[in-house]
Amino acid sequence: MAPRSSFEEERAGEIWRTHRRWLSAVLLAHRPRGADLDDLLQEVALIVTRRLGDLREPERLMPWLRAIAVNVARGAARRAAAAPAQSTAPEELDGLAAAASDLERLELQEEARHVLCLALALAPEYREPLFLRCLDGMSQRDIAEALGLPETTVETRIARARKALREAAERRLSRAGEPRLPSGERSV
Amino acid sequence: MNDEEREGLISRAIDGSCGAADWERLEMLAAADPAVWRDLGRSLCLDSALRRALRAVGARAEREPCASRRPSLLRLAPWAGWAAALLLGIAWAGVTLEPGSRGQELDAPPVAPDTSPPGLVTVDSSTFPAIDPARVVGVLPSMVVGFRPAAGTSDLEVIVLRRFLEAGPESELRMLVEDEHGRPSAVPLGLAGLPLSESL
Repeated sequence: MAPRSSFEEERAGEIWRTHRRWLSAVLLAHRPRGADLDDLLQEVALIVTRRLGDLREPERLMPWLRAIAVNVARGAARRAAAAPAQSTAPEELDGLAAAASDLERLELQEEARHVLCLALALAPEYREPLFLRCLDGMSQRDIAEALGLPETTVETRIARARKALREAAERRLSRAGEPRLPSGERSV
Repeated sequence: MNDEEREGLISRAIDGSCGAADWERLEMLAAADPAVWRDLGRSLCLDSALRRALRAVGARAEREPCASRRPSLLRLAPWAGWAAALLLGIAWAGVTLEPGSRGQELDAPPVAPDTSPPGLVTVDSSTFPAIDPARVVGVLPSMVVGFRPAAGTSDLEVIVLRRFLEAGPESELRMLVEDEHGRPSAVPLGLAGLPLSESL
Protein backbone atom coordinates (compact mmCIF):
# COMPACT_ATOMS: atom_id res chain seq x y z
CA MET A 1 0.00 0.00 0.00
CA ALA A 2 1.32 3.45 -0.79
CA PRO A 3 2.13 5.66 2.12
CA ARG A 4 -0.56 8.27 2.45
CA SER A 5 0.55 10.70 5.12
CA SER A 6 3.16 13.33 4.52
CA PHE A 7 5.06 11.84 7.47
CA GLU A 8 5.29 8.48 5.73
CA GLU A 9 6.27 10.11 2.47
CA GLU A 10 8.95 12.07 4.25
CA ARG A 11 10.17 8.89 5.94
CA ALA A 12 10.27 7.02 2.63
CA GLY A 13 12.20 9.89 1.08
CA GLU A 14 14.69 9.93 3.93
CA ILE A 15 15.20 6.18 3.71
CA TRP A 16 15.70 6.41 -0.01
CA ARG A 17 18.22 9.21 0.24
CA THR A 18 20.15 7.33 2.92
CA HIS A 19 20.29 3.96 1.20
CA ARG A 20 20.09 4.56 -2.55
CA ARG A 21 23.86 4.52 -3.07
CA TRP A 22 24.47 1.04 -1.73
CA LEU A 23 21.24 -0.19 -3.29
CA SER A 24 22.65 0.84 -6.65
CA ALA A 25 25.61 -1.47 -5.94
CA VAL A 26 23.23 -4.35 -5.19
CA LEU A 27 21.36 -3.68 -8.42
CA LEU A 28 24.61 -3.49 -10.35
CA ALA A 29 25.66 -6.84 -8.91
CA HIS A 30 22.42 -8.62 -9.74
CA ARG A 31 20.95 -6.91 -12.79
CA PRO A 32 20.90 -8.69 -16.13
CA ARG A 33 23.24 -7.43 -18.79
CA GLY A 34 21.80 -4.44 -20.57
CA ALA A 35 19.17 -3.56 -17.98
CA ASP A 36 19.09 0.18 -17.36
CA LEU A 37 20.34 0.94 -13.88
CA ASP A 38 18.28 4.12 -13.60
CA ASP A 39 15.10 2.23 -14.44
CA LEU A 40 15.86 -0.40 -11.84
CA LEU A 41 16.62 2.25 -9.25
CA GLN A 42 13.31 3.95 -9.91
CA GLU A 43 11.49 0.65 -9.66
CA VAL A 44 13.11 -0.01 -6.30
CA ALA A 45 12.27 3.50 -5.12
CA LEU A 46 8.65 3.04 -6.12
CA ILE A 47 8.35 -0.26 -4.26
CA VAL A 48 10.06 1.15 -1.19
CA THR A 49 7.65 4.06 -1.17
CA ARG A 50 4.59 1.89 -1.61
CA ARG A 51 5.51 -0.91 0.77
CA LEU A 52 7.23 0.92 3.55
CA GLY A 53 4.15 0.37 5.68
CA ASP A 54 4.66 -3.40 5.32
CA LEU A 55 8.01 -3.25 7.11
CA ARG A 56 7.22 -4.73 10.53
CA GLU A 57 10.75 -4.84 11.91
CA PRO A 58 12.54 -1.51 11.41
CA GLU A 59 15.80 -3.11 12.54
CA ARG A 60 15.55 -5.33 9.45
CA LEU A 61 15.45 -2.35 7.12
CA MET A 62 18.69 -3.08 5.26
CA PRO A 63 17.93 -6.72 4.39
CA TRP A 64 14.40 -5.64 3.47
CA LEU A 65 15.74 -3.01 1.08
CA ARG A 66 18.27 -5.44 -0.37
CA ALA A 67 15.58 -8.06 -0.94
CA ILE A 68 13.57 -5.50 -2.91
CA ALA A 69 16.61 -4.59 -5.03
CA VAL A 70 17.49 -8.23 -5.71
CA ASN A 71 13.88 -9.03 -6.64
CA VAL A 72 13.73 -6.05 -8.99
CA ALA A 73 16.96 -7.19 -10.66
CA ARG A 74 15.66 -10.75 -10.96
CA GLY A 75 12.41 -9.49 -12.40
CA ALA A 76 14.39 -7.58 -15.02
CA ALA A 77 16.34 -10.77 -15.74
CA ARG A 78 13.12 -12.70 -16.26
CA ARG A 79 11.82 -10.02 -18.59
CA ALA A 80 15.10 -10.01 -20.48
CA ALA A 81 15.00 -13.80 -20.79
CA ALA A 82 11.46 -13.69 -22.12
CA ALA A 83 12.29 -11.02 -24.69
CA PRO A 84 13.79 -12.09 -28.00
CA ALA A 85 17.55 -11.72 -28.16
CA GLN A 86 18.58 -8.51 -29.91
CA SER A 87 22.34 -8.82 -29.87
CA THR A 88 23.96 -9.66 -33.16
CA ALA A 89 27.51 -9.58 -31.83
CA PRO A 90 29.59 -12.72 -32.27
CA GLU A 91 29.31 -14.93 -29.21
CA GLU A 92 32.92 -14.57 -28.14
CA LEU A 93 32.69 -10.78 -28.24
CA ASP A 94 29.23 -10.46 -26.84
CA GLY A 95 30.15 -10.39 -23.16
CA LEU A 96 32.54 -7.50 -22.93
CA ALA A 97 31.07 -5.60 -25.86
CA ALA A 98 27.61 -5.63 -24.29
CA ALA A 99 28.92 -4.81 -20.85
CA ALA A 100 31.07 -1.99 -22.16
CA SER A 101 28.31 -0.41 -24.21
CA ASP A 102 26.00 -0.83 -21.25
CA LEU A 103 28.35 1.18 -19.06
CA GLU A 104 29.08 3.94 -21.51
CA ARG A 105 26.68 6.29 -19.81
CA LEU A 106 28.75 6.17 -16.65
CA GLU A 107 31.42 8.26 -18.39
CA LEU A 108 34.21 6.22 -16.86
CA GLN A 109 37.87 6.37 -17.63
CA GLU A 110 38.99 3.39 -19.67
CA GLU A 111 40.80 1.62 -16.85
CA ALA A 112 37.88 2.01 -14.46
CA ARG A 113 35.52 0.66 -17.10
CA HIS A 114 37.77 -2.33 -17.74
CA VAL A 115 37.96 -3.17 -14.06
CA LEU A 116 34.21 -2.79 -13.64
CA CYS A 117 33.65 -5.14 -16.59
CA LEU A 118 35.99 -7.65 -15.00
CA ALA A 119 34.24 -7.33 -11.66
CA LEU A 120 30.84 -7.82 -13.29
CA ALA A 121 32.08 -11.17 -14.53
CA LEU A 122 32.61 -12.41 -10.96
CA ALA A 123 29.96 -14.60 -9.37
CA PRO A 124 27.19 -12.50 -7.78
CA GLU A 125 27.92 -13.76 -4.27
CA TYR A 126 31.44 -12.34 -4.59
CA ARG A 127 30.87 -9.17 -6.56
CA GLU A 128 28.00 -7.93 -4.40
CA PRO A 129 29.98 -7.61 -1.14
CA LEU A 130 32.94 -6.25 -3.10
CA PHE A 131 30.77 -3.57 -4.72
CA LEU A 132 29.28 -2.63 -1.36
CA ARG A 133 32.75 -2.36 0.15
CA CYS A 134 34.07 -0.26 -2.71
CA LEU A 135 31.05 1.91 -3.42
CA ASP A 136 30.56 3.50 -0.07
CA GLY A 137 33.22 1.85 2.04
CA MET A 138 30.43 0.17 3.97
CA SER A 139 31.68 -1.57 7.07
CA GLN A 140 31.78 -5.32 7.09
CA ARG A 141 29.14 -5.27 9.79
CA ASP A 142 26.75 -3.24 7.60
CA ILE A 143 27.44 -5.46 4.59
CA ALA A 144 26.85 -8.54 6.72
CA GLU A 145 23.60 -7.08 7.99
CA ALA A 146 22.39 -6.21 4.49
CA LEU A 147 23.31 -9.61 3.08
CA GLY A 148 22.18 -11.58 6.10
CA LEU A 149 25.59 -13.24 6.44
CA PRO A 150 28.17 -13.57 9.21
CA GLU A 151 30.90 -10.93 9.11
CA THR A 152 33.58 -13.59 8.65
CA THR A 153 31.81 -14.85 5.53
CA VAL A 154 31.66 -11.32 4.13
CA GLU A 155 35.37 -10.83 4.80
CA THR A 156 36.20 -14.11 3.09
CA ARG A 157 34.04 -13.33 0.07
CA ILE A 158 35.57 -9.89 -0.38
CA ALA A 159 39.08 -11.36 -0.18
CA ARG A 160 38.18 -14.05 -2.72
CA ALA A 161 36.58 -11.49 -4.98
CA ARG A 162 39.72 -9.36 -4.91
CA LYS A 163 41.86 -12.35 -5.73
CA ALA A 164 39.57 -13.39 -8.59
CA LEU A 165 39.57 -9.83 -9.91
CA ARG A 166 43.36 -9.69 -9.82
CA GLU A 167 43.65 -13.00 -11.64
CA ALA A 168 41.15 -11.88 -14.27
CA ALA A 169 43.16 -8.69 -14.80
CA GLU A 170 46.34 -10.73 -15.16
CA ARG A 171 44.67 -12.92 -17.76
CA ARG A 172 43.62 -9.78 -19.58
CA LEU A 173 47.16 -8.47 -19.52
CA SER A 174 48.50 -11.75 -20.89
CA ARG A 175 46.02 -11.51 -23.78
CA ALA A 176 46.62 -7.81 -24.44
CA GLY A 177 47.79 -8.48 -27.97
CA GLU A 178 44.33 -9.47 -29.15
CA PRO A 179 42.58 -7.29 -31.77
CA ARG A 180 40.39 -4.47 -30.51
CA LEU A 181 36.67 -5.01 -30.12
CA PRO A 182 34.19 -3.04 -32.18
CA SER A 183 33.27 -0.98 -29.12
CA GLY A 184 36.84 0.20 -28.80
CA GLU A 185 37.47 -2.02 -25.79
CA ARG A 186 40.04 -4.76 -25.51
CA SER A 187 39.12 -8.32 -24.84
CA VAL A 188 39.18 -9.58 -21.23
CA MET B 1 50.18 -19.96 5.74
CA ASN B 2 47.44 -21.00 3.35
CA ASP B 3 46.13 -19.09 0.37
CA GLU B 4 42.97 -18.06 2.19
CA GLU B 5 44.95 -16.37 4.93
CA ARG B 6 47.31 -14.74 2.44
CA GLU B 7 44.40 -13.23 0.50
CA GLY B 8 42.69 -12.24 3.72
CA LEU B 9 45.76 -10.28 4.78
CA ILE B 10 46.01 -8.59 1.38
CA SER B 11 42.33 -7.69 1.55
CA ARG B 12 42.67 -6.26 5.04
CA ALA B 13 45.71 -4.25 3.92
CA ILE B 14 43.63 -2.77 1.10
CA ASP B 15 40.86 -1.87 3.53
CA GLY B 16 43.37 -0.34 5.93
CA SER B 17 42.25 -2.66 8.68
CA CYS B 18 45.50 -4.55 9.20
CA GLY B 19 46.68 -4.64 12.77
CA ALA B 20 50.30 -4.87 13.88
CA ALA B 21 50.07 -8.66 14.00
CA ASP B 22 48.62 -8.74 10.47
CA TRP B 23 51.49 -6.63 9.12
CA GLU B 24 53.98 -8.85 10.86
CA ARG B 25 52.45 -11.93 9.24
CA LEU B 26 52.35 -10.22 5.87
CA GLU B 27 56.02 -9.24 6.07
CA MET B 28 56.96 -12.77 7.10
CA LEU B 29 55.08 -14.13 4.15
CA ALA B 30 56.60 -11.59 1.76
CA ALA B 31 60.08 -12.43 2.96
CA ALA B 32 59.53 -15.95 1.69
CA ASP B 33 57.49 -14.96 -1.36
CA PRO B 34 57.99 -11.40 -2.71
CA ALA B 35 55.00 -11.93 -5.02
CA VAL B 36 52.88 -10.95 -2.04
CA TRP B 37 53.91 -7.30 -2.49
CA ARG B 38 53.24 -7.50 -6.21
CA ASP B 39 49.78 -8.96 -5.61
CA LEU B 40 49.05 -6.37 -2.95
CA GLY B 41 50.09 -3.58 -5.31
CA ARG B 42 47.98 -4.92 -8.16
CA SER B 43 44.96 -5.44 -5.95
CA LEU B 44 45.33 -1.90 -4.61
CA CYS B 45 45.33 -0.52 -8.16
CA LEU B 46 42.31 -2.60 -9.15
CA ASP B 47 40.47 -1.61 -6.00
CA SER B 48 41.16 2.03 -6.70
CA ALA B 49 39.86 1.74 -10.28
CA LEU B 50 36.79 -0.15 -9.10
CA ARG B 51 36.08 2.53 -6.51
CA ARG B 52 36.24 5.19 -9.22
CA ALA B 53 33.82 3.23 -11.37
CA LEU B 54 31.43 2.61 -8.51
CA ARG B 55 31.62 6.25 -7.47
CA ALA B 56 30.09 7.05 -10.84
CA VAL B 57 27.36 4.48 -10.18
CA GLY B 58 26.70 6.01 -6.79
CA ALA B 59 26.58 9.48 -8.29
CA ARG B 60 23.86 8.28 -10.65
CA ALA B 61 21.94 6.83 -7.73
CA GLU B 62 22.20 10.18 -5.96
CA ARG B 63 20.27 11.74 -8.81
CA GLU B 64 17.35 9.35 -8.40
CA PRO B 65 14.69 11.06 -6.32
CA CYS B 66 12.21 9.16 -4.21
CA ALA B 67 9.41 7.69 -6.25
CA SER B 68 6.78 9.52 -4.22
CA ARG B 69 8.06 12.72 -5.74
CA ARG B 70 8.74 11.51 -9.25
CA PRO B 71 7.07 8.71 -11.19
CA SER B 72 9.30 5.71 -11.55
CA LEU B 73 8.25 4.92 -15.06
CA LEU B 74 8.96 8.35 -16.49
CA ARG B 75 11.63 7.59 -19.01
CA LEU B 76 11.75 9.48 -22.26
CA ALA B 77 12.91 7.49 -25.22
CA PRO B 78 15.67 9.02 -27.35
CA TRP B 79 13.14 9.66 -30.09
CA ALA B 80 10.64 11.31 -27.77
CA GLY B 81 11.81 14.76 -28.82
CA TRP B 82 11.24 13.96 -32.45
CA ALA B 83 7.83 12.49 -31.64
CA ALA B 84 6.90 15.64 -29.75
CA ALA B 85 8.11 17.76 -32.64
CA LEU B 86 6.05 15.65 -35.04
CA LEU B 87 2.92 16.05 -32.94
CA LEU B 88 3.51 19.78 -32.62
CA GLY B 89 4.03 19.92 -36.37
CA ILE B 90 0.76 18.16 -37.02
CA ALA B 91 -1.00 20.46 -34.59
CA TRP B 92 0.63 23.50 -36.19
CA ALA B 93 -0.34 22.37 -39.67
CA GLY B 94 -3.89 21.69 -38.51
CA VAL B 95 -4.22 25.13 -36.98
CA THR B 96 -2.62 27.12 -39.78
CA LEU B 97 -4.16 25.34 -42.76
CA GLU B 98 -7.78 25.60 -41.70
CA PRO B 99 -8.18 29.25 -40.76
CA GLY B 100 -11.89 29.13 -41.39
CA SER B 101 -12.58 26.59 -38.71
CA ARG B 102 -10.01 25.93 -35.99
CA GLY B 103 -8.36 29.29 -36.38
CA GLN B 104 -11.53 31.04 -35.34
CA GLU B 105 -11.91 28.71 -32.39
CA LEU B 106 -8.42 29.57 -31.23
CA ASP B 107 -9.26 33.27 -31.33
CA ALA B 108 -12.12 32.76 -28.90
CA PRO B 109 -11.49 33.76 -25.28
CA PRO B 110 -10.49 30.93 -22.99
CA VAL B 111 -13.30 29.19 -21.18
CA ALA B 112 -11.46 29.07 -17.86
CA PRO B 113 -8.13 30.31 -16.54
CA ASP B 114 -5.31 27.79 -16.99
CA THR B 115 -4.35 26.44 -13.59
CA SER B 116 -2.45 23.40 -14.83
CA PRO B 117 1.26 22.84 -14.14
CA PRO B 118 3.75 24.54 -16.47
CA GLY B 119 4.00 22.76 -19.78
CA LEU B 120 0.45 21.48 -19.73
CA VAL B 121 -2.78 23.10 -20.82
CA THR B 122 -6.24 22.41 -19.60
CA VAL B 123 -8.38 20.09 -21.70
CA ASP B 124 -10.79 22.11 -23.73
CA SER B 125 -12.92 20.39 -26.32
CA SER B 126 -13.05 23.54 -28.43
CA THR B 127 -9.29 23.55 -28.97
CA PHE B 128 -8.71 19.80 -28.78
CA PRO B 129 -11.01 18.18 -31.34
CA ALA B 130 -11.58 14.46 -30.93
CA ILE B 131 -9.21 12.13 -32.72
CA ASP B 132 -10.61 10.94 -36.01
CA PRO B 133 -9.84 7.18 -36.22
CA ALA B 134 -9.73 7.46 -39.99
CA ARG B 135 -6.70 9.76 -39.70
CA VAL B 136 -4.74 7.65 -37.18
CA VAL B 137 -1.91 5.81 -38.92
CA GLY B 138 -0.13 4.52 -35.85
CA VAL B 139 -0.02 4.43 -32.09
CA LEU B 140 3.22 4.88 -30.17
CA PRO B 141 3.70 3.23 -26.78
CA SER B 142 1.95 5.14 -24.03
CA MET B 143 4.12 6.86 -21.44
CA VAL B 144 3.38 7.08 -17.75
CA VAL B 145 4.00 10.71 -16.84
CA GLY B 146 2.77 10.82 -13.26
CA PHE B 147 0.69 9.53 -10.43
CA ARG B 148 -1.81 11.17 -8.15
CA PRO B 149 -4.08 9.94 -5.36
CA ALA B 150 -7.43 8.65 -6.59
CA ALA B 151 -10.35 10.46 -5.06
CA GLY B 152 -12.13 8.45 -2.39
CA THR B 153 -9.82 5.41 -2.42
CA SER B 154 -6.31 4.51 -1.38
CA ASP B 155 -5.37 3.73 -4.97
CA LEU B 156 -3.28 5.83 -7.26
CA GLU B 157 -4.38 7.24 -10.55
CA VAL B 158 -1.85 6.74 -13.31
CA ILE B 159 -1.52 9.67 -15.69
CA VAL B 160 -0.71 8.33 -19.13
CA LEU B 161 0.33 10.16 -22.25
CA ARG B 162 -1.24 8.37 -25.21
CA ARG B 163 0.50 9.10 -28.47
CA PHE B 164 -1.09 8.80 -31.87
CA LEU B 165 0.34 9.39 -35.30
CA GLU B 166 -2.28 11.20 -37.29
CA ALA B 167 -2.21 11.86 -41.02
CA GLY B 168 -4.34 14.17 -43.12
CA PRO B 169 -4.15 15.78 -46.54
CA GLU B 170 -2.55 19.22 -46.58
CA SER B 171 -1.89 21.43 -49.56
CA GLU B 172 0.47 23.79 -47.79
CA LEU B 173 2.83 23.60 -44.83
CA ARG B 174 4.51 26.43 -42.99
CA MET B 175 7.57 26.48 -40.79
CA LEU B 176 7.73 28.76 -37.78
CA VAL B 177 10.84 30.96 -37.86
CA GLU B 178 11.89 34.31 -36.45
CA ASP B 179 12.17 37.33 -38.73
CA GLU B 180 14.97 39.89 -38.54
CA HIS B 181 13.22 41.60 -35.64
CA GLY B 182 12.93 38.38 -33.68
CA ARG B 183 9.21 38.08 -34.26
CA PRO B 184 7.67 34.68 -35.04
CA SER B 185 6.83 34.25 -38.69
CA ALA B 186 5.34 31.34 -40.68
CA VAL B 187 7.25 30.65 -43.88
CA PRO B 188 5.65 28.41 -46.55
CA LEU B 189 7.41 25.10 -47.15
CA GLY B 190 7.50 23.55 -50.58
CA LEU B 191 5.84 20.15 -50.47
CA ALA B 192 7.81 18.77 -53.40
CA GLY B 193 11.15 18.59 -51.59
CA LEU B 194 9.91 17.08 -48.33
CA PRO B 195 11.26 13.63 -47.46
CA LEU B 196 8.60 10.93 -47.68
CA SER B 197 8.06 8.64 -44.71
CA GLU B 198 8.04 5.31 -46.50
CA SER B 199 7.72 3.31 -43.27
CA LEU B 200 4.45 5.01 -42.35
